[in-house]
Amino acid sequence: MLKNYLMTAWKVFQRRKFFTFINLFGICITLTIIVVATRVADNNLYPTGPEKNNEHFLVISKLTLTDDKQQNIDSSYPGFKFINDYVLPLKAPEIISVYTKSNTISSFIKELKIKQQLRRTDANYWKVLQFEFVHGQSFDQQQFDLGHSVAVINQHTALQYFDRTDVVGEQIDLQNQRFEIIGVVKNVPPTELNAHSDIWVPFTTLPTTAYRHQMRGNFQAILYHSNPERLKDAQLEFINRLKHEFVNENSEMTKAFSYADNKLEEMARDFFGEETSFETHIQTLIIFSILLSLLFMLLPSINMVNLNISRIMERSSEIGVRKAFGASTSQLVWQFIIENILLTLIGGTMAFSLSIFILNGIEISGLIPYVEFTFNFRVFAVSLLMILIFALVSGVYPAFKMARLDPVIALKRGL
Amino acid sequence: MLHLTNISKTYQTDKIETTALSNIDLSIKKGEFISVMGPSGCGKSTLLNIIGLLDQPSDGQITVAGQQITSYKDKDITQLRNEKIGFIFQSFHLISDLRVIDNVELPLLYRKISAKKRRQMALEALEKVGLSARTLHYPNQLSGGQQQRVAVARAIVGKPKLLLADEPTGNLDSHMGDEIMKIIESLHKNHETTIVMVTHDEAMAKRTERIVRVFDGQLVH
Repeated sequence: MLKNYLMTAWKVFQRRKFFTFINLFGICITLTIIVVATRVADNNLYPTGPEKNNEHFLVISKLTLTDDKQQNIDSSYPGFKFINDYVLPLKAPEIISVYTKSNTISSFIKELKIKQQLRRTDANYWKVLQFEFVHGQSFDQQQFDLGHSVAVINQHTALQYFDRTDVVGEQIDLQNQRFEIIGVVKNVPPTELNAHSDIWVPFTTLPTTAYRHQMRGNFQAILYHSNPERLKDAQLEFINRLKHEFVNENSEMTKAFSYADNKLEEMARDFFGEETSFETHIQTLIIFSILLSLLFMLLPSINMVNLNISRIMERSSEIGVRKAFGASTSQLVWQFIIENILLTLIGGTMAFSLSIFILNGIEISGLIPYVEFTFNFRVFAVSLLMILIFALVSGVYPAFKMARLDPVIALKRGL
Repeated sequence: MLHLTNISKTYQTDKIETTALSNIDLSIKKGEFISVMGPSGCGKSTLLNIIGLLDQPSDGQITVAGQQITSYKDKDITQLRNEKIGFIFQSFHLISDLRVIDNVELPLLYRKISAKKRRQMALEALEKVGLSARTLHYPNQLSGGQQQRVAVARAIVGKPKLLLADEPTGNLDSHMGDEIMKIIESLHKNHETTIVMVTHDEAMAKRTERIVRVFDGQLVH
């Protein structure tokens, strides 16, 4: 029966080219946007660069200080003192890495001013993130401890400075300091928030040690564990430490809220989190994303419902005949749903091709520097699910409405 | 074969109640070939739709082969229609998106029959109506007479016990109409199919075994 439904559907599409074209156009545009959005979201949640092992780590990148009554609220990146006092002593993580957020710096190359991103890190940073070295290597613990002026740069920066990437041993001047290049890594897109930069140097090369006494600043930390299950322990340990042991001497800001989050939790907290709460709101994010996707699909779906009803209405004689010769309502419902699913799958395939074209365009345009959109099974599966939901949402109502037509009325309409 | 007892059919709109059929009693024997005649709007087609279980009466009982249909569920009626009844319509009602062979196969789709067997049965039915050479054509590539022959093939492909024809020659010229009538007559003669045919044509009606006349929704004797 399924084969027959499919064959009938295919014949209907071929014979009703105009309707098929209009339907496919609407489906293709809607689904292209959904596939592109899915791919971009996937790129953020499941990075393919240095953060590809992100299920093994949590990130601490925000600190909110309040007074007892929570009337004064001050949110910023954590300072080194906060990380030193409340993060580095944590026992649950196997490795803790401390690093600054990337800052924009200006340099002059051949009298041309260029802007670059500079990040200062510890030696553990290179253990927890999986950078791909093109030349050389990262700095080790000893170089970090001794504050060696060494730098790792990305391919783009190497080409900007030297027109080649094999630049280990060369020197660059950054903010009045001279650094020796010891490694060149592949470019990292800004979607990988913790890894992205153009240049990485040890934070022990900072000109002063004032940062060591700052509760707020521009530091971040990664809590790493080889067993992702154990990260929950690290989260709890960190929250308990803040709840019960936080002391901020000589300040009225006596309460601290901070979080060790995975990618999804970080995203949820950015959208829905409250500064003075430990709640992640991850469920809210998931529900919101699903509702937003459905809402986005609703308008084109209503349009499709109308188109489908017109398309099926034209075939009321067929409905009457099929019913007269023994088709049950459910068989007709399935026939029309399968027709719609097939049409949507064809539109989805076109949308998939179009989205590859668009994403390639985004890559080439440099809109998101260094970004690479590769399709994987997960994106394919989610896109396919979206396509099927779209097909069902837009196809079920017309199928039910038309399949329940009285055969006598359907035959009269078909005259 | 078929008994209609005290059948009435009324259509209710906002303000008006229209009676299409009133107190119809009709028995049709197995293998009988009857025609139903009457002026336009007298209720002939409504009667045929009720006999074919496409429409439900407002009142009365239908009995097919000793079984009362009024108590049947929709699913059972669908199955009964599929297995026992074939329809021929005045305006053919062929599915324009499907080829001739696929149109003829249609009633068999709703039975548990293999694709190969379906194809074989459809070819046999098309042979009976003399259209073996047009199996891969689409309906709009055929003349009116050929389309009605396809419709006849579709009606008989499932070997129904009861064949209902609603003015089968109404849209055809007299020559084509005669051809279709001959096919229907041969079905009755060779396969003992019970046939109920609605017609306006007195000459066609006279070729059947019994004429039932309807006037203003009632049988006229």
